[in-house]
Amino acid sequence: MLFNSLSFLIFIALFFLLYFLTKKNARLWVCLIGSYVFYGWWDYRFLFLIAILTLLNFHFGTKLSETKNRRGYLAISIVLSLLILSFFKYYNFFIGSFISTLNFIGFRYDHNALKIILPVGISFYTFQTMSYTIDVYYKKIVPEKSLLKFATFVAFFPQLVAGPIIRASCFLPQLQEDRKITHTTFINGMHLIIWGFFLKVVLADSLSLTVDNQFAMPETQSSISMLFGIIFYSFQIYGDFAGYSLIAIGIAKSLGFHFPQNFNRPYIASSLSDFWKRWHISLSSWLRDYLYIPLGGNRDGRAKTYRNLMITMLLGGLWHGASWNFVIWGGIHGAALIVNHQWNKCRIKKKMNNFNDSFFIKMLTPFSILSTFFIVTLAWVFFRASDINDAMLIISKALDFTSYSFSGLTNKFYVAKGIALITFVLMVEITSMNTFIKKAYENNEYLAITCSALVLLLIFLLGSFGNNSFIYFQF
Amino acid sequence: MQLLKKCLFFVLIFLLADTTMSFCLEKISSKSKIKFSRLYNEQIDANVLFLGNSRGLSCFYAPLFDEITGEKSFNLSHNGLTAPIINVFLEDYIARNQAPKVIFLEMSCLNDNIFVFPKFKQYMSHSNSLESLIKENNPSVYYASKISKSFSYNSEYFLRNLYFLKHNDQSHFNPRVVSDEHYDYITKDNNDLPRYLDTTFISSLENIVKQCDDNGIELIPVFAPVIDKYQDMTLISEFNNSVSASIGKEVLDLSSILSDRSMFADEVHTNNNASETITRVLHTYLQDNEIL
Repeated sequence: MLFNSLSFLIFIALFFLLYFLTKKNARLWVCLIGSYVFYGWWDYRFLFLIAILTLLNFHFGTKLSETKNRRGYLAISIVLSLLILSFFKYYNFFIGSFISTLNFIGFRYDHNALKIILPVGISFYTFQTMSYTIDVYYKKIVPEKSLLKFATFVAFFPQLVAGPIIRASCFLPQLQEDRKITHTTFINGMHLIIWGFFLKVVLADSLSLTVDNQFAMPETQSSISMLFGIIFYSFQIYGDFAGYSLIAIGIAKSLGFHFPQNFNRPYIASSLSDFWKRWHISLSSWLRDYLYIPLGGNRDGRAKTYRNLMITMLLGGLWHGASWNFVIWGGIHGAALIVNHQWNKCRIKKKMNNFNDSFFIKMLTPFSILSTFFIVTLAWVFFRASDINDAMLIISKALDFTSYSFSGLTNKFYVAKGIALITFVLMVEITSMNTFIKKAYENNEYLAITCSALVLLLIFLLGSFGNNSFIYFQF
Repeated sequence: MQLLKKCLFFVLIFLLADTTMSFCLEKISSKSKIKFSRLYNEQIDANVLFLGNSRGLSCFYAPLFDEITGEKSFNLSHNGLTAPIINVFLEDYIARNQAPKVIFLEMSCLNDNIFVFPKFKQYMSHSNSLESLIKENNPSVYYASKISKSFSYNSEYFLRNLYFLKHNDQSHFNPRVVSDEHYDYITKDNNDLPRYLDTTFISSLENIVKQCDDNGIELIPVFAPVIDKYQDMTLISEFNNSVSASIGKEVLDLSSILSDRSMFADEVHTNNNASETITRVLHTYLQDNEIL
């Protein structure tokens, strides 16, 4: 069930009621059963998969503390998790790519793709359970003894289908004790939920009205329409994903659990490195800790650092979807990160770093932010376009400056609304960085409540309620 | 207790802001020169009424019609309108104005799209018929409008209200010309004309026909022009024949009157280049049939 649906509203109301009426283990059972009901609502067959992954990783976690062959058990657990993920997500992609290669070199081979349903959220909870066994292996955490707590950690519904990817070291300790829920944590959670809904229902879904139109038939769109289309998509995916994360974090907070931030104003990033410290933080940190660093990180010289970066980003791209589009998206980010690293090491940049707070640096920052946004936006085209040819067509149209003409702009009302919404969201995000405003908001509960009431009003006034799914559900 | 106090405060602020916002938005809506705001806030008293969806909006041009014929006309067409809501607007128009002598009704509005009704929810407070239509077909929209009055103004149509605050939308026209790329993309086999020509819902015309008969209005069904690649399709003539047989009136078939593709914004919508040609054809029709 989608967060922005009536069925979820009924579900969460019942869940909160049962949660607050119960304590200790009973409360954990409510969390687990509620999460399984939530997940089973998509398709009851998915429950078998998540149960299997839970039992497997619980078993391996326990074994890792008992056995001498720890490496072997770790390898088996990772391989099994990746096999399950690969089968459901990548089987048809790899087979299709292999057969295309065979056909390309002259071997004719026909193959009917298997009809495999992609379980919602599989990429997220697979990574989550893998991080558990890896952390147990490295003795960063002790294996969880309670299957109930472990199963709740894996299946906890707010972050189950689209993240954030919560580490066991963060969440399992919180499940050990009965959470103290004050009216402040509950209300703070509600604030996050309301702003999350604003980002999703107002920003993302309003922009999708323009974006879907532009991307559906790019050959018929004007250059300026395409330009707005790609810019709007950058903010649509942000609103969609950041909105979902905020709702998930807000629900958890209302229940007394603290989840870390998953987005931190990514479009004011001044470099690609900075962008990846702000966008989908739970995934980028997972890739850093469990892929980039084990590959060697930046410890073995420049060439290997760049190799490790590229591998991490290519696999990060593939994680998003079984398509060459996503691999290219990852490759663009990998290449941009390599350029970023190279730039940071060059002499000019080092000299510039010496000019702290200078007028020169202040002039350069907006340029850095815009150029980072430009690269990120171009990369997003591969994310959204139906195939590589369409992506190239869209980019070439959007960047054809000589053809820009406002008369070619379709759906001007939606475009105007989109621009206004993006401006509003950026203003809120930049303003909230101001220390004075931040303190005033945090110290005055009634001011915060007033703001949330007004945001709720804006949701009613500006929201798009077409039962749009969340983009990241497809991953 | 603290939690209850804060929840009550939240609800109070929301209701206060909502009421204030909806009051201001209603004031804006009533002052807008857009057609449906004028319908519910002004006396129009046109002799000729144009009704239809986007094809009616693009092919009927009221200012030029007034100039050529000397008759006052008013175009109540809008993107996506379907027969049930056209019927409601006609009913509300007749209730507030002198009944027109002639109605030109563009015929591609026969489908069961109920999702266009909520676009006009801001006018529910002015029209019981509209409120009933939305309540019956879009209950979630209806009840959400009861929870939040501002929700009634959550529509693309209200944004248009803002755009037409100072000027009249009757003189708005479509300036786009179909591009070479788009023209090459259009094919006879791959067209969405059937979407516009669904005879399943011919019965939805009955109420419109009845209103016209009850008020002595001459109803002229029209089929607006289509681009050359779509002209002379049997689909169009079959559709027109079905409509004629159903309502007992001959459809004024304008589908093939324009051969110049620069008169089209896309394959099924004309632009302002076509306005004069179409208007003169309508005028000639009225004169030849001694209507008006």
